[in-house]
Parts: sequence; structure tokens; C-alpha cells
Amino acid sequence: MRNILERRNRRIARDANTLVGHLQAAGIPGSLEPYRQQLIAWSATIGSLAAKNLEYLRLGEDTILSDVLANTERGLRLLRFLSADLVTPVLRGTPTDEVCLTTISWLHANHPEVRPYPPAVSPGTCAVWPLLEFVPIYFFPALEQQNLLYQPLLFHEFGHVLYGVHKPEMDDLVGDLQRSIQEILLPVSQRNDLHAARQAARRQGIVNTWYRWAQEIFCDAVGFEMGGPCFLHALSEFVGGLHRSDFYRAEPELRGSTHPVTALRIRLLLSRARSSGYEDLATKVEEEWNTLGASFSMPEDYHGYYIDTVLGPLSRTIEDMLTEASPRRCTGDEATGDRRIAGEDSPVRLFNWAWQTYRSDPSLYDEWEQEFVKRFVDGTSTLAVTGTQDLATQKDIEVPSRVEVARAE
Amino acid sequence: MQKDWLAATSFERRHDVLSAISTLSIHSKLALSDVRDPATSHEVEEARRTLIGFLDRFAPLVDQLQAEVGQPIVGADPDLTDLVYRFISLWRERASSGSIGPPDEIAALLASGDDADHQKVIAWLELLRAVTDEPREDSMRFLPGGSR
Repeated sequence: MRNILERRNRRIARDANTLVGHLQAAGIPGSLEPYRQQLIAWSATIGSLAAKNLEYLRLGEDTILSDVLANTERGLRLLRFLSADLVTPVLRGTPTDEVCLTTISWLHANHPEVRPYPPAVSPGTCAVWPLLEFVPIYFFPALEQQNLLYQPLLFHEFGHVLYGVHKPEMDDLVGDLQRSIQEILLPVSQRNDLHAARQAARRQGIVNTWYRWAQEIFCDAVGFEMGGPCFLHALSEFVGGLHRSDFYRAEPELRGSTHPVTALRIRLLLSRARSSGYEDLATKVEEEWNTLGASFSMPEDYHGYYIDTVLGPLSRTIEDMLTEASPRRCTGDEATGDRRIAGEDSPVRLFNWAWQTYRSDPSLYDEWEQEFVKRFVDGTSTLAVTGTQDLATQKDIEVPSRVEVARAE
Repeated sequence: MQKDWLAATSFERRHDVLSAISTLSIHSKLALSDVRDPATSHEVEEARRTLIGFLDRFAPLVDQLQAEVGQPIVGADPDLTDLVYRFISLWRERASSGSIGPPDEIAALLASGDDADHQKVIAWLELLRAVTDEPREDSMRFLPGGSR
């Protein structure tokens, strides 16, 4: 055993050193440099762990061999994790990563508690690993990385990072929601038989599932609060609504599921949009989803996982979570989109402008986007924006109307 | 490839806890053998802090489970909930043999630093390792790469 552990730890130390060399040699954009440094630090930590294991082995104490074995396994697992997943942005990065990197950099820079974490993105389905001890990493599909329309989806993923940063408070709020749901689901009278035991197990499954659902609904709310109309459009079009599972899932598929039924997520977002004053926008999106839903003729049945009486506690919980996380809210100006002056404005306005332009005339959108992706990533050139000049080349751009709604304090 | 945020954060938490367990287990075993520990006092204290921080989150859930018999654990992610159930099961087995005391004993032992009963610390760390170090065939589930 001792010889095996010595050999394995020497290999781990060598591989960690090799990884440091690869990371240092990679050509990367400036925005990725802090992330590279984190990875180098972690690689060095793995090397130090292997060196410490070799030191332990030199003591000749058999009582600690099981611990050194555990340490060796941990070092190897961490090295594989870095090599398989975390180093991709540095060792396999492409220029098209820069759009997402710009968005993520802006997100982190505008939230003090997240500022210490460097931006990083890798190809994949929309996701984030909010690894606050290691380093967070976002995932975004390769095609959508290169355009502006779906960038607002990163606001949802950022919500997971915010949750992680405020985890104890967030978990407490979700726990209160789970208790409320449990009480709502409890029958008025309870039997003491096999049926009652099965029902109790079913209720437990529903309550457990809501831990993840609450976080996803919170992240949707973060997305809308930060992006306004562009987030609603991005989510609505990206998640699709083109399959019946977007409207209905059988009960076994709901238990332990990672996300609520898509139609429910959209319904909750539309409610948020309306309460924020975007009645016309919400109506348009709702009409689209109703049209799609009607084509599948699926019942609106969540098998007890969501009933109308859950809405009250859920809404209160989400508002409390938003208060705790305090994401940067989309302003009225940003929601109007219309134009953006690089260096003086936020990506939110640009993303709203992108959706307005796209929905106005998709045939003209690609050319428009090509120019503004470049300016977005560049960040230093000033848009020669007159508003009228840009609009003259396009059909009427419909700017979402919004009625200012007083927010409850 | 599994891109699940819950799997990733669970992996990160277990990594931290297992690292701390190994450091403290080695420290106590070397102390019993009267051998100098190559780990620095800072590293040992850091491991204690990590484990105490984990127990601060973990212990109330154990209390919740014991106080609200038959009720689901709330306010905790599914992975942590699994750890709580596994802890209770293993603790009952080992407590009946007398090798460890009540669930709050480990926090007190860690807080007393090098004055603690090293045999008891080792017994508790072995239990915590058994709780958090999932079987090999399940470990891939918690690797962000998912099962292959």
C-alpha cells in the first residue's frame, strides 16, 4: 500500500505541475486572467497536497495509511475535476467566449459580494456551477454564445451564484416555504393506515422537490428584475414551449425534478411582469404560450406539486429572497432599449434593444447584431447613435410600454 | 454531461469536509503515537474551523429530524438531507457500542483543540467520513461529469 500511495502521489504532483505549465502558456483575453490565476492556485494546492502525502508516508506510521489513501483519492479527484471541466475556458477558449465573458464580468462587477469571483464560461447547456470555494463557472451553448438575444439567460444563472453567496438566509426562507406547502398539503383529518402512510410519503416528495423549484423560480425572478422585457423574451423563446412536456409532466417526472413545469415558470414570470407594469408585454407572451399550449391540449395539472393556494407563500418567499440578494434592477430607461452608448450604459439596455429590433424585423436583425456584438465586446468605441438614423433603416421598433407601479417597501 | 448546480456544490462541500477530516484524523493519530505532525498548526486549525462550520449547518438539521419525527427536513438541499439521514443511521449503530457519545459531542471535542480525547476524535471522524464519503459507485453521480 505504501509503495502504491507513493507512486500515485508522485504522479499527482507531476500532473499538477504540468497543468500549471499549460495554464500559464495559454493565450487568453484579459478578462480571463483572474480565472487563470485561480486555476493555477488550485493546481498548486493539489501539488502541495501530494507533497504533504509523501511527507506523511515518510513517517512510516501505518495508523495513518487509510487517511493518506483518502487524501490521495481526494487529490486525484480534484485534479480530474480541473482537467475535465474547470480548465476548459483557459485551455480551449475561443474568441466567441468574449460576449458571455463581457456579460458575466458586468454582472460580477455590479454586485459587491460577487466581485471577488472572476468571470469564466465554457460551452454547454445553460447552467452555472456556483463553486464559491473553488471558482464559479458558467456554461452557455456554443451557438447562442455568439449572439445578444440569449445573453439575459445569464441573469438567471447569476441568480444561482447570488443564492450561494446568501445561502444560509436563502435556505431558511426556502425552509419556511416548504413548511407552508407542507401545511397546505396536509389533509383536514388524517387516517392511520397504509393509505395515509403513502400519502405522507407523497407529501414528503413534494416538499423535498420544492427546495430546487424555489431556487429556480427565484433565479427566474432575478433574471426579470435585472433584465426586464429582454429576459422574458429570452427565456420564453429559449425554453421553447414547442413540446407537450413544457405544459404537462406526469407525476413520476415531477418528483425530485430540477425545474418546475415550464408553463408554470412562464405563468409566474408573466405575473411578475404585470405587477411591474408590463401589461402589454405579458399579454403578448401569454397569447403565444396559450396558442402553443392549445395545440397540445394538455391539462394544467401539476399533480399537487402546485395549487393556487401555494402562490401566496411562494410570492412572499421570492420577494424576501430578492430583498436578501438585492440584484441590480433594470431601470425604466434600460427596459426601453432603443439605443446604447458604449462605456456609458449597461448591457441591459443593449439586450432590450436587441429584442425590440429582432421582433420588429428578424430579417434585418443579423446585420444589426453583427455590428453591435463587436461594439459590445469592444466596449471602448462610442456608438454614433442618433436614434433616428438607426431607426430609419428599420421598421417601427415597438418599445414595450410600461406603467410605473409603486413597489411595496 | 451533467451540469447540475446542486451536484457541483455538493461535490465542493464534501471535498472540504473530507479534507478537514483527513487532516484532523492524521493529527490525532500522530499525537497518540507521539509523532510530530508535519501539518502546520494553521492547517490543523483551519481544518477544525471547516468542520465546525459544517457542523453548525448540519447539527440543527439533525435536531430537526429528531424533534419532528416523520416530518421531512426543510431548508436544506437534498444532498445535505441525505447526509443527515445517513448520519443518524450510522450514529445509532456506533453509539450503541459506546465508542461515541451524543451528536453534539463532536463539536465540543473540536472546540477543545489538542486537549481533546484523541481516541474519541478519531472515532467521530471515522463516522463523519463514512457519512460524507459516498460509495465508489455513487461518487460519479456527484462528480460534475455525471455518471459515465
